[in-house]
Amino acid sequence: MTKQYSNPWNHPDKQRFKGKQSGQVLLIIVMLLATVLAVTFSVSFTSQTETQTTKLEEDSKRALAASEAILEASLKQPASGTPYSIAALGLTNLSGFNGSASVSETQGNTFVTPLLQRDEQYTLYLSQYDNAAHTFSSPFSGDLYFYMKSESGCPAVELTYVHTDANNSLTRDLIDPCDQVSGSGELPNLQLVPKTNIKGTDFEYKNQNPKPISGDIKVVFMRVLFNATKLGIQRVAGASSVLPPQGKTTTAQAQTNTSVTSTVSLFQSYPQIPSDFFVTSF
Amino acid sequence: MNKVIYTIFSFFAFFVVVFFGLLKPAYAACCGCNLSTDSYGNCTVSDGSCSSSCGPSIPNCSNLSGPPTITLGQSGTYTADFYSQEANRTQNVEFADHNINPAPLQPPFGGWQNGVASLNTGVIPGNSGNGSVTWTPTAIGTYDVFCRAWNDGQAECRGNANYVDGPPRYTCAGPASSIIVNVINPPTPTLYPTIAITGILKESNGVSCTNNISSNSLSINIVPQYPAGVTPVCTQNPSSGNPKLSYSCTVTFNNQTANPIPAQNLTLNASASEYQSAYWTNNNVCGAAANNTIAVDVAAAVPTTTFNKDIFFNLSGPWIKLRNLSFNGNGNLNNPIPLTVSSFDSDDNTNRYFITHFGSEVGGVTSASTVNVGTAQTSVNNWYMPSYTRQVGFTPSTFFDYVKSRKDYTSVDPASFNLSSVSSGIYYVSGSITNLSGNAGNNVVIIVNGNVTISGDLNTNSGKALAVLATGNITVSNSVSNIFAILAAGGSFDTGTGSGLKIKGNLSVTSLTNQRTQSNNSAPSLFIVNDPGAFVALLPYLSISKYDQTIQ
Repeated sequence: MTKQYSNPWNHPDKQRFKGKQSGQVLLIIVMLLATVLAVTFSVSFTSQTETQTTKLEEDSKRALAASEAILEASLKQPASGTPYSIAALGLTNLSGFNGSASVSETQGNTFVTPLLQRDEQYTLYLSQYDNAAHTFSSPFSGDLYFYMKSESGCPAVELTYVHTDANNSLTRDLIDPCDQVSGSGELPNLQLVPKTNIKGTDFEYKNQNPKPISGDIKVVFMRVLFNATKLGIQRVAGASSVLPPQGKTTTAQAQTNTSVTSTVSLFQSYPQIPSDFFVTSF
Repeated sequence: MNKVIYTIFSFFAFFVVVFFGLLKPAYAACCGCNLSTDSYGNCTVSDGSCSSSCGPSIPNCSNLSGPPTITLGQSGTYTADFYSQEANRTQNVEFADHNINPAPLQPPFGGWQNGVASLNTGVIPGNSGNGSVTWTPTAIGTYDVFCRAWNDGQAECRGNANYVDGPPRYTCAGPASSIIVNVINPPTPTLYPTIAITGILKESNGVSCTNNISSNSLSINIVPQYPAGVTPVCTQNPSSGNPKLSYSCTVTFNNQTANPIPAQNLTLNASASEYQSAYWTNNNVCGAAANNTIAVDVAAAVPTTTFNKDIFFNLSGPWIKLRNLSFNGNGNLNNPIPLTVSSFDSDDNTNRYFITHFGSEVGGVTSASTVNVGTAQTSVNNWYMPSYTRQVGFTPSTFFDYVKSRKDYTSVDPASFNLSSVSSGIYYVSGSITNLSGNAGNNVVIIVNGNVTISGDLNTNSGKALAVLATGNITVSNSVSNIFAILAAGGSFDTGTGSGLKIKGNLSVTSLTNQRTQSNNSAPSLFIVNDPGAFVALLPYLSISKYDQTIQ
């Protein structure tokens, strides 16, 4: 005789079946919870990383801004070995920052100009120049090479020496490797094979024989002809003095309270007389 | 039988006599009727009753004469004797191409097919006489020329049998009724000799001269007084580049295809924009008066065909001289230096350079679109670059933009600006300055937003450095003779008129109008002397800085 069940779920087999189903549901719930937790943790971690990155970038920018502010504030300071702190500069809105700026005038054996455009001239200081008092002293003695590297084509440069005598008398040289200028009396020159690298610039030409400087030059106006050109000046070993400073370099460093540091260096040349006012034109 | 034969023979003989008697020529028959013959053998009618049986009375022409050769373009007169039974008759002379073969016998419509002319003699009174025609041939060739006599309504005679086709046209009895005439081209005239004019190009200041000139616009021409058939051609040596050394002209008179006038004047027409005038002189004498005409006669028995004529280029205008500067022009530099140079003042010397120097000084590079300093050098080393285009860096306007952002400066209005009292520094003057003069009290850079008029000598006795930068023009009053300042203008610079002007400092402007003159133009009318001390003194002000930034 078969027992009848009004509710099929009351069937003993069903009861057994029902118990198995409960375990499966629990398993699914556990898996779902694990997934949700994993996603939650992942999102939380990503957000935290991005927050940290953003904070780092922000601090970096603030550090850069702070260092530039220090640099800008210190630009008008005379050259000195004493570093200028943020506090000393009176930049109170940069609280929480540590930083300082120093101004230096570097002497050396070489100097490389920025790229000079056609007809532009660079004022090379061959005497110590007091940027505040506007006086010259300690003229350089020694031999110099003038290197040239044109952006395209062949370079040529006119050198006008201002002497230290009371009349500021002038003498001139011309370096014209490709004979683009008619005339005579140019400085002998040579093409450099291989090229000579000075401070990252591969120079292609130089004067063949070093130019002797007898301690009687204040400045040299180096006027670029024909093509945009970089000029390099190298003191020949054995000279009694190094090249005088050509300007001042201000190095500003700022550090945030999160230890993000930014360093900015700015080279500011000594006064440059534009060729447009020095060369006759009509 | 014999009688019969005799009778037949008699009849035959009678018949022959009668028959051949009837066959005699008409005029013979005419003459047979007892008519007389004239001197030409023709019948003369003396009995009108017999005329009908005498045949035509043939006229005659004879003794045709005239030139056997005619030059084309010229004429020939031909004469013949004519006889005609018809009194007061106009007769003819015919001209026909001999080389058309066979000659047509009958003229169509009154003219020979090969005929070129049929000329009337005019009326010959009576029955005989002399008649003539004048023929002007129009083409070369060989021609039959014959007379033609008329007895109108009866007969005509033609002097050339080739043109006779039968009665009533008969060959003239002549004699000498036809001739052959050759028409020839005129002989090619001997070409007139070519005139050659050569000489050296010389620079002159009116007193002394030197060989060679320097010009980028040299033009040399010879102008004939009567140009028809006359062709002048001139060349320069060298054909390009400078200096120019000499010239050569040829003048041809083409008398073979034209009709030039052989005796005429030839005039020099020469110019060079760098020189005031160009001229010949008598006997090539330097400093002599100009005489730009030579007389030639290529048809003379012994014509003069070569002329040695130097051309003198007068250079006596105002010119500009620099000392110890470099020059970078905005356009062309046309500034020939005269042969004889005198100094402007003690800051100058007599060097014949565009950029002069003293001692160890060296004039700098001269560059411009074209560089013309005549036969002089630009400087002691003659450094120059033609075909060079200046690249402008700073103008007064752009320099002021730089000053505003990087330098300390003081703004003043024109009325309150006092050159002698301002302290050292940069001064921005907001408007034009109309009377700048006097001495600077300190080292000063003036940037003027507008024009500047320099009304008196400027800064000549201060010992201070002055730079005047005008965004507009700078004008110098006529009374000003010395300006000790560095001048720069975004516009033009006008020297004003008057005697020489000296600028000690520098001049950098877009364009220059130099109206200064010297009584003796051997000295420059505008003299610009570099003043490096002024640049050194103004180093803090008339300057920029270069920057190079690195970020770590």
